[in-house]
Amino acid sequence: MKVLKYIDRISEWTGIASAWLIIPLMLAVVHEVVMRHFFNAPTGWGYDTCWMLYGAQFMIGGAYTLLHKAHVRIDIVYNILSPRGKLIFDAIIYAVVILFVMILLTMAGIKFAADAWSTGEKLSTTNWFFPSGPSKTIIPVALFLLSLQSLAELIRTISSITKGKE
Amino acid sequence: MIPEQTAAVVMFTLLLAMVIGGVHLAFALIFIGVVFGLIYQGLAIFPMAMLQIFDVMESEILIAVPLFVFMGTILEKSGIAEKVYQSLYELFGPVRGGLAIATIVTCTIFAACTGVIAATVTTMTLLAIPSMLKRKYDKGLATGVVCAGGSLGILIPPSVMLVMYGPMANLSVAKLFAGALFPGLVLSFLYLAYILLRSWLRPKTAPAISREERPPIGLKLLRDTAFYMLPAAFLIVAVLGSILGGITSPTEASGVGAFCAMILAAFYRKLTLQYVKEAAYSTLIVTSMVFFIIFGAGIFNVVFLYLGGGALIRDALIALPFGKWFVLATMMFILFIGGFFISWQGLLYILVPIFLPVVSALGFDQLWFALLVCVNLQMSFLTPPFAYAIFFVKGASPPEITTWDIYRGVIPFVSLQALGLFICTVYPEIILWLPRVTLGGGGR
Amino acid sequence: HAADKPIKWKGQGCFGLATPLGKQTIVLWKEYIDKMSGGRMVIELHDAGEIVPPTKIYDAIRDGLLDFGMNTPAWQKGKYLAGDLFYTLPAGVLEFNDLIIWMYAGGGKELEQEMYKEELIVFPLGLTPPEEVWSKRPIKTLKDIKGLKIRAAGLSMELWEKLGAKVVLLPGGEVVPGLQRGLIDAAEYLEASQDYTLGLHEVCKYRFGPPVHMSNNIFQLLIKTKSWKELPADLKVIVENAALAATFQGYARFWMDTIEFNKKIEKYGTKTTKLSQKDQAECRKLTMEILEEKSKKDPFFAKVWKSQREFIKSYKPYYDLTKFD
Ligand code: NA
Ligand code: NA
Repeated sequence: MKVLKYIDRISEWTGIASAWLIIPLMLAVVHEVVMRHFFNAPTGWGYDTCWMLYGAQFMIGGAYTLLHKAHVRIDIVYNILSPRGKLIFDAIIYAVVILFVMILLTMAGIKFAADAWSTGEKLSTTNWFFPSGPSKTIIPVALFLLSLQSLAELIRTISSITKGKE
Repeated sequence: MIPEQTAAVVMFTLLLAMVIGGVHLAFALIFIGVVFGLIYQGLAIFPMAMLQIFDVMESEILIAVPLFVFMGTILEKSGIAEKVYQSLYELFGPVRGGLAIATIVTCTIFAACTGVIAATVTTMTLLAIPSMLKRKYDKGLATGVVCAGGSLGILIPPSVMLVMYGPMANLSVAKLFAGALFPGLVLSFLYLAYILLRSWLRPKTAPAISREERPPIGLKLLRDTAFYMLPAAFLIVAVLGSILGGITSPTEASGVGAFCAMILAAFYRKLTLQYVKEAAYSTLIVTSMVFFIIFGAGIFNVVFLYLGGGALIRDALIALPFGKWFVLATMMFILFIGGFFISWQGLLYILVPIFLPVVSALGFDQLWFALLVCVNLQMSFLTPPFAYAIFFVKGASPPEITTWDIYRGVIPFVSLQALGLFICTVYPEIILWLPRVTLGGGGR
Repeated sequence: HAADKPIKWKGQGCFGLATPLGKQTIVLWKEYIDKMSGGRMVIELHDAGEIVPPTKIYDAIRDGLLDFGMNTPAWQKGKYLAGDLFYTLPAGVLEFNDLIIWMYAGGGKELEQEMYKEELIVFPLGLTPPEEVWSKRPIKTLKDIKGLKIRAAGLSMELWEKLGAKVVLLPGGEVVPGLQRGLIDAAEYLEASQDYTLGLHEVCKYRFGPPVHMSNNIFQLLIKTKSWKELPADLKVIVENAALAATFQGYARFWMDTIEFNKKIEKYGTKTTKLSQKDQAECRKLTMEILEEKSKKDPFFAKVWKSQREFIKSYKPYYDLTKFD
């Protein structure tokens, strides 16, 4: 199905983009260390920038991790199931446990981020007082991508079930 | 509606059922949290779930996790482990059990360089298991050594487990690092003693390498060994040394460590775009997986503790007979059993917050308890069915190794870890001495 | 019938319930309500961080998860810059007397409520003794502060920077290790009993006063608006006045601890110095500048600071007349 290919590609590319954030994160930490220890001049922005990079990295990567089946699970009971049983079980997980909850949380995330933008709230972690809107927006974006990927997995599983019947 | 505390029990039971049934740990936690939250807290669960996620994102100390993981994967690609193992293998090869000894020593050195186990276990599976099998080592021993030795990476500092424990228990991560060094070395020593004893009693299961294969012992061998140890020594000084020696915070050290690992990889001409890309991708998968569990546990806990589930377990533990040592033993036993089925991140974030008030009520030292938990969680890497070390070894070992070989092989090492846990319980100074002399005493 | 069923409130503190900061504040409040209400009201108090992280208590009450909670107004400054003013002011601009009179009768608590609008209900709760500053180097004059790396929080961060220090943000648990390994060479943390318990005297040879940064800190009790509105009138009086009683009883007991631990610190051999009156006046002058600068950034901050400034001005003449110098 074409739509599956598109969704997989979105998860793949957003995942790759967030994976590369590790490099600027590493450089930002090293920069802060050098400024603090060698020039005795820690920056005002370093602290918040570092956690925003790290937060974006693991949140946006959630969909990619689902695409690559890397969220941990135990398979002792699962392995007892027949191939068809496995598919039905997976369909239930993707539909009820992941997709349903992720849609709810995406909506919650939109409100969470919208409140931050509309009130002009600032970060209170440091004296930098950077707006909290950008970092809070990462949450609904990441959860939306995850909802999308779980929808793709659900469609894939259901189509395997129906194919098996034929 | 069922009463609140009963609902908390249902939540916990449902979690176990879902996880053993095969639902992803992270999504089971989030699902149960959101569903029970909707029933008992209404729509307030949604902003609370957002705050739990944001709280994990905002954490300065947790930044060290992806950076330590990245550092580990870069080191795995750099080929430094090969060089260290090769030289130690030549050094210890002539002794019975020598290859197993070389494996444990290499793992211990690498444990002090990296904060995770994946890189060490995978690398050692590829390196050490084939060389031991070639020399007719027992398959169980060969795999057990790699599982146990590789898992040291998460106990001996730097360690992402300690990085995560710190903010949760309001303990200094630097102190946790200092406290973990000797317990890690105790385990490493126990493994070495066991290998020596076993290969002395049953030489056929761990033979010395043949006379023809032995390199001439002399100045050259020692010089080579020293030369190949240098990069590892450089990393240990840069990361662990700068934390314990009082120069950098754990987060700063993780960034510097990752940077140094890239420099070393460049030095060995292994810093290709392909390797960096692979390292960045696998870092992403590990960190996303871990952090979804962490904030998932946060969402679960908001509801579980709101319903009074924590107080229920706490009161039950404190009401146990036979005094405080029995309570401690019970908590350790719960972690041990939980370790068979749930990943260590889950145990750390679900059970430990419930245990912490019990620990202070009983008057135990929080730092000491933290390290007992971490030594205990070593066992979870080796106890099937949910055992990271076994997954990694199985994934990278030659096909002649069966899962049963590994299961058989880890039994003595799990027993040794339990012995190590007992030793650290009886002699708390093993844990407490180093943090006191390097980072000062006082409340925490 | 309904009147027989006690009203149950669920909430959380931001400090460990077993520490003085929990024991002498919100725990005391809970005990008073239990006794004053004769069992008509039940307070289910959770430990710090048990349900939500301490820094998220405000959101948890506003969003309706918890009925009540205690935290510091300074933590809301990302949203309400004026939060700092209801907590403590640097350089003794508002000391115990001034703070209490302004807060309880000079319009303080009304302004604090105005800041939060209808989002939640607020009352002052929990007052701590003045703090000392710890240092690894002797600090005799303001010149010695130049180049100092100090752990600080709140409004005083700017004052330290104006005095030429570098401010480093560290969570509580990292303060002692940070001093030990030289990441920082000074710290303002809390008062003598908490500082001693944390072990600051073991890593710092010196301490000095008066607090350049903070005098008395006053915390806040936050209540979910809906829970408050549903409360019968007599229980409202009990909830509010239990907070008042707990604030003062807790403050007095806290001070007794501070006195005991100060003796221990002196006995340990910590070298204690005090800034000269000239240096104190300089700190106050710089603080006034900071308060004026911040007032330009935020109109509500300006409004609160104006109220405080005018209060101090009208209060001083009679206070100075009656106090023994
Ligand atoms: Na390690
Ligand atoms: Na396990």
